[in-house]
Amino acid sequence: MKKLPLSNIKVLDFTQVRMGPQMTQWLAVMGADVLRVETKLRPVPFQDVGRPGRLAEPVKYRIGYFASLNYSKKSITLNMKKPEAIELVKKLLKHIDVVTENFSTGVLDRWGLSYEEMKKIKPDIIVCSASGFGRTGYMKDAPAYAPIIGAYSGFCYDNGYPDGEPAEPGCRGWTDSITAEQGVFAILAALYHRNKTGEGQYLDLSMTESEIALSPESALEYFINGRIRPRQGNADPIIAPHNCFRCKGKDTWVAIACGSDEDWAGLCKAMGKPKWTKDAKFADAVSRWENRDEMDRLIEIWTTQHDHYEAMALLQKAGVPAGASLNIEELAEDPHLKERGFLVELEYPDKSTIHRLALPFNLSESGRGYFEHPPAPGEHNNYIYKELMGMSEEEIKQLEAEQVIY
Amino acid sequence: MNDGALAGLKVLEYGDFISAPYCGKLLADLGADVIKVEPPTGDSARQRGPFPKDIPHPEKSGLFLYLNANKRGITLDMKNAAGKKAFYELAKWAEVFIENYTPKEAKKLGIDYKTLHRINPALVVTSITYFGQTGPYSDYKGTDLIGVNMSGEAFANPAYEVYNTDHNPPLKLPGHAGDFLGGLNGAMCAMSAVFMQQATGIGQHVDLSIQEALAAMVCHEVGDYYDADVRYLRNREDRWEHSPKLACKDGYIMMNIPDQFWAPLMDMLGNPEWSKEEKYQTAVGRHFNLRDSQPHVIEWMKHHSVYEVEKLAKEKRLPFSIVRTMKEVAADKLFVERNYYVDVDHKIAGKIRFPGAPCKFSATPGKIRHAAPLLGEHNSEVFEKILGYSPEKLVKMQQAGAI
Repeated sequence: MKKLPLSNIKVLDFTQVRMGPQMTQWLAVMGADVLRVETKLRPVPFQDVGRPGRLAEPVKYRIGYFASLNYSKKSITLNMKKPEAIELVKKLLKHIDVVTENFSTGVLDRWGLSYEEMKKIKPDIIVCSASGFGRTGYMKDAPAYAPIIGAYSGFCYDNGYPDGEPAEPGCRGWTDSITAEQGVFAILAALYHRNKTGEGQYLDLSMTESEIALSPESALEYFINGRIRPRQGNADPIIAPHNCFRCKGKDTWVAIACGSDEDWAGLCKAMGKPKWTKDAKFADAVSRWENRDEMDRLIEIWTTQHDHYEAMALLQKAGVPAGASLNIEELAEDPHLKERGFLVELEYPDKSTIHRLALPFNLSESGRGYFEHPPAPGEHNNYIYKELMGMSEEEIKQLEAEQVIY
Repeated sequence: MNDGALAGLKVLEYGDFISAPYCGKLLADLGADVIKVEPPTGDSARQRGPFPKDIPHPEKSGLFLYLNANKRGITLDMKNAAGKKAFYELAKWAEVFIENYTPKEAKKLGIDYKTLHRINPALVVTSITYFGQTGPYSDYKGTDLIGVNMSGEAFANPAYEVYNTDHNPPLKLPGHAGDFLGGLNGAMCAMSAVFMQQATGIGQHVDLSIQEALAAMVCHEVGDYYDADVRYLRNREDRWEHSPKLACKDGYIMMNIPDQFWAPLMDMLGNPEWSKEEKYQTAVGRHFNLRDSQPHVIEWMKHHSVYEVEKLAKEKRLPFSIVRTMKEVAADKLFVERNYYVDVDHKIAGKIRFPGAPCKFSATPGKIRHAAPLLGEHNSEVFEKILGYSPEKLVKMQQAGAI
């Protein structure tokens, strides 16, 4: 069997929706036992369908958004409204290395599960609290969603065409995703410290601060020169050509970036050295940048004669950084990604399967990591309550009857 | 004193521009001892602004200074035999190595996994590339723009003008979001591999693809395609439904209005007559008649300033933010309250303020211990203290162009 980096780590996962689940998914694929705390009191958002209304047939297992973010995890059910459930969590904590949550500020405290309380039970526990604006400061209670954070952090202002309006950046949930990953890194660093010193800690992770740290260009511009960076679309402040160019076919494009004279020579060669490329207007990097609009139009005469994959192959062969702009279908079917094992098949207990993207790493000893179907609610109750905690069948049945394990 | 969570972790970085240096920065800011190797010409980020007063200077690049604080910097010419030998000695010292060259370039430089694994079998070799170590595109040249397009991110970027697909191309994310993301993912992988190194004594090769790191963000859209054959096109408008960006008199605001916020939103609008229509009285009705209600909301916003709307939205506890510029972000007292920014004093560039770490560690807060290194600043310190070279040997190496 493959060795997995986090195979001896147990995570108690209270997270909801996107950011938190994406964080614990990394840990699960890296081999950690991630125990999702769920309840039958209310359904997990997005658990059954892709886009509401698009799937006519009811499904037996949870697919859709839930499946994209929760494969390889385990699910236990607990009704946290019952004091007995909180007692059960406290007993479970002795087996846990990391607790994750992204509730509104104060929910865990109200349950009597603040970091300080958990620390009394498990002194070296690591608790990661993820929130929109952080758990301290005057915004700590403000409601937060990814688009709001994008606007608040200044990233949204930066996203868009130079002559257009600002827009929420990236695919759905960009801000959630990058925060999730900053959280994974913080948890791993805290585990490293715990392994060395025996000391646990509390991690206060902020979406807003994650976004500014990961895209610092505008902050640097403002702090160094007091200027607000203009929206740049596909342009680069010093490199040209640097754009998406129209190809043959409806809404198909190839991205080209020539950072050096060598790249430019490759581009000229790939295009068959048309006469205009010898014009003094395009002779050096500065001239090309200054005359980039005209140059882009001339390059497009060549790209529109080619399919976007074909243009990419021809340009790369000539040593030019170039890439087809993939739509969702092309991404899901990309031969390169398939060959690399980035697309995975997950099998449910009835042998039916779904497909999903893997995570972006391949390790020489651990491969792509650990993959298991997304759990059904409470699928691992037996494993946790009986095998891990040593509770008796009667005890478990009793708690089920009282709707504690529920 | 170094009180970071990663104090004691030995890291060697031979990375250029953003992805590998950001990976090294994440480790260094939490206390790891990161030695950054630059070729004698320096990291290319040194040529990138912003520079104070826009005057280019290799020691004053804001981007370089942000990415390389807390690291020790040395110069080495990998084409020189003595330089290469010194590099391999450092590879024996290190627990983690970070690089961002294509597999072909890495091999040519002699920093490929096979070579390094032979020298130090316990080493975690973190390779951050645009397309990964295997597959037909593995030696393709990339940049942030290329990665963002090859991952579906540019196609999924929902700038409003994107709907005009005849006129506007797919849109990349601002700045170098893809490169930074690659660095972050590299750091997560490197740390994971370190746990296995500690448990088993074996190192491994981390193959991190920026294309995949970006594509992993599009997981919902790809899941919909696999599950239900949904093929999103660029001109999709469904995003507007729950998180419209709205134009006010003097700027833009962003709101998130899933159905549970309908009542407070109508309150804010003064419960207008149109909202009392039968079709808006149930959640289902509101969902299917969104196209009818939206123009009313848009119209109302046009007559109000962003600050008026902000005040009202706060009273009604609506998820809301003004689309802020960096000027407004910088003036926000939240980041002062949370002690977010770090101020660094650099020998040549002077005092510069940077964004800080996105996560507060209660036990190991970490900090900026020193500014980014000048080119070759720590040559004698590293070669003498870590490799035990004599000052005479260093002079000889300098004369031979090795450092």
